[in-house]
Amino acid sequence: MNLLISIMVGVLFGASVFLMLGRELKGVCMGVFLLGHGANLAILGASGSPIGKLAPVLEHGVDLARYTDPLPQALILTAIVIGFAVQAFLLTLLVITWRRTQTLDLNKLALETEH
Amino acid sequence: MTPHQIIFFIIIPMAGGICTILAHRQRKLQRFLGIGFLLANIVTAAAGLCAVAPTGSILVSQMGNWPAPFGISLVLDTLSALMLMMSSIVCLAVFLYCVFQFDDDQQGGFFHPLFHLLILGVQWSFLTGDFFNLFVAFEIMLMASYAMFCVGTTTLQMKHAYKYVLLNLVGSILFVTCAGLLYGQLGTLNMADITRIAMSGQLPDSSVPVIAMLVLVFGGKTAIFPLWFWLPDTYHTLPGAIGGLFAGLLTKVGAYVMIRVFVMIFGSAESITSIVSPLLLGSAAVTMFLGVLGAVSMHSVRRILSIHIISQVGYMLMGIGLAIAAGIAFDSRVMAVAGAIFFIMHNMVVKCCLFLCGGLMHEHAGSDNLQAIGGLLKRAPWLAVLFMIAAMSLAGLPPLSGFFGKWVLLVAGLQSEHYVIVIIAVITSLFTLLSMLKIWSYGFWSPPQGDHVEHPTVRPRTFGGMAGITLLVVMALSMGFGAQHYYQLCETAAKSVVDPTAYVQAVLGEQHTPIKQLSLVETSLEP
Amino acid sequence: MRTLILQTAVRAIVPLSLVFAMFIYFKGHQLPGGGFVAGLVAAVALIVHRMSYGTQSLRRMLPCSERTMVAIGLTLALSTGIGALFVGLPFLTSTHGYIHLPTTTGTSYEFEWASVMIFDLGVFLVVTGVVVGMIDCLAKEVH
Repeated sequence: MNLLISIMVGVLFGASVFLMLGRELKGVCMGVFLLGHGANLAILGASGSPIGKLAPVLEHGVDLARYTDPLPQALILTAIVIGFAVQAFLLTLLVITWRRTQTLDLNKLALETEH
Repeated sequence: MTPHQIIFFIIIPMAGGICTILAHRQRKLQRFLGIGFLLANIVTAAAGLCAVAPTGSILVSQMGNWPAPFGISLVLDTLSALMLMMSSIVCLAVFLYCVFQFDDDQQGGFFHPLFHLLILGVQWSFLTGDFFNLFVAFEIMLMASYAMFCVGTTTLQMKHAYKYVLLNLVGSILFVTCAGLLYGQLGTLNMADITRIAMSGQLPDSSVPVIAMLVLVFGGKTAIFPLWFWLPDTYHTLPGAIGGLFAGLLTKVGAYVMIRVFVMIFGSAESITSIVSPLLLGSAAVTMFLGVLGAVSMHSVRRILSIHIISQVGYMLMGIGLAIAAGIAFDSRVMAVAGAIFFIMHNMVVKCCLFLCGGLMHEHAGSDNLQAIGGLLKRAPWLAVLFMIAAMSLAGLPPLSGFFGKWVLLVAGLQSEHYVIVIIAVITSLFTLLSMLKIWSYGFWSPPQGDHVEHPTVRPRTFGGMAGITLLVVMALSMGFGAQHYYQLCETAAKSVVDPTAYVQAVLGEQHTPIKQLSLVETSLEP
Repeated sequence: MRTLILQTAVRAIVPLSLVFAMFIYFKGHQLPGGGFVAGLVAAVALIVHRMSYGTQSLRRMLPCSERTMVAIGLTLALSTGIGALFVGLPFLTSTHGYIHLPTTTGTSYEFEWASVMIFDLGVFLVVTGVVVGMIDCLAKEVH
């Protein structure tokens, strides 16, 4: 399970770097979103394998060692919420940029001068 | 101030944010509320400083009454209290400037709530006692700053906003990855708990690369040598006051966190300091020198000041690097950290003040290109005087505040026999003087040149701006003439950072057994 | 999306989803659920309503603007946190107790209340307000 997660993190990070190096602003933003998902997955991987363990909803009489560690999941939830806000902001910025300049190509944006 | 009351540092700006959202159509009410909340903030900061500074005691509040390494701890020690004091004063000065100088358009939208939420993020990151909350605080601060970047936005500003937003986002994502990996390796995110592990020498070798990655994260936020490129490109597009706020707070939060993390938490772990210290010292030397060279070559007030931020960050980095360098006596380490803290405080005030001056120069002359303006000495003599004091303080002429900060850092460098960086620091200081004189002689001294910029015929109203600048200059002067008192405070702060035993004890309590938590969770479920 | 089928379906979906949101909210004290998820469910219901009836109808449905909703939610969350300070406990310390409610069968039902519920209500309002406001704004941009 951990190996799978590690590979997935690598794939996500690699894909996001590829996207971020592109010339299209949409792709760059998508790359950042993917990087966020990779980071969340990395935290999940760092918390140990969840195979054979229970979700951390505690009940009486169950050995605590049988539950997964709830903290990384709480961290991921927080990170997802923050990522959600950031994504909404970036998308809005993209919309405004498109409306003003009619282009999302970084080379053309660089030539764009102030109105 | 009782320990639980340190939460007011978070409640006040948050309440400010809520009230200004509710009063979103009443501009006047928003302004009054803002000033009220910022004054309350200063009073709280002063109370906090009085409570911890004289004795070097540490106030700890565990959120929700959950015990230390498992819950969220807020910690107010002398270092945090000093930073909170300075940042709240800077915020008030900038706010005065914004309220009176900005037109309704620039203050419209969500400017006021964003301002308070930015302060919330800054103060939270000064107070927090664990890594994950540091991340959350950073994010709140950065979200507010992203949105403020787009207040009254021009296309140029928006173009540069992408660089700022995307780079900071990547930095934040790396930070949260580091936090997750650290938790996987150490089983805790509480700063005091990690300090305890580092002090007892139980830090696993596998955590070294993770912590080295933290240099990248905080270095990006602080704008140190290889990671600085976003800053000179973005800050100069901002209106003067917002630039001042960002310059005075955001990079300094990064420097503060570097002190916390690399000096206090990992300062006692040989395996980490042996890597981080040369990195930081080398980066410091390049940062301060190249930064100032960039500043000398620029021709616009805001651009000079923006690149200058980087050069000044070099000095702070120098203090941090010296403090964890190998084979340094305890006294020199304390001195280096105290110098860095003094320098951060000085820089918050002076840098922000210069940005505000730059904003007013723009209002008086209609441009901030040094080749187009001039003769401001006659048009605005008081502004000239205040600018001169702040600029000389930045350059480090005695008896102004910058001199003492640099002096302490240089002495610490000499004591620890790091001569190269000391020489570079002295040369940088000379160039700083040169770049400040450039603004002075082109902007204020020389007669107006070039007719391609039409000077505003009406004298701009600058009352609020001058009030803010005066407040900051008075602070800078007091830091110069009362340097001894300020330095003593910094020394108290530095001692508790270099030797964090008291911090660990204050946060974790006397005894600490990790197993306890498990049974505690169980008992909390008992009906 | 203003088709008759969706509009008819939404009349059933929206109230059901809001009730379901309330269920999740009350369940969230000891079991998975809580204000955050409930807020998301309620927000989705409102967005579906907006999709089929338009933004004007959504405005008439909401008691106040999303902005005010967020501010009220934050105030609720903050004030429950502050409450603990008055009894000398750290910020956000929670307390709980039991209420016995009569039922039709004659036995009493034990309901556990906790001060954290008010905090959760604040979270609910913030999440609903933010999500509805955000999607409403973006949707306006696109059209």
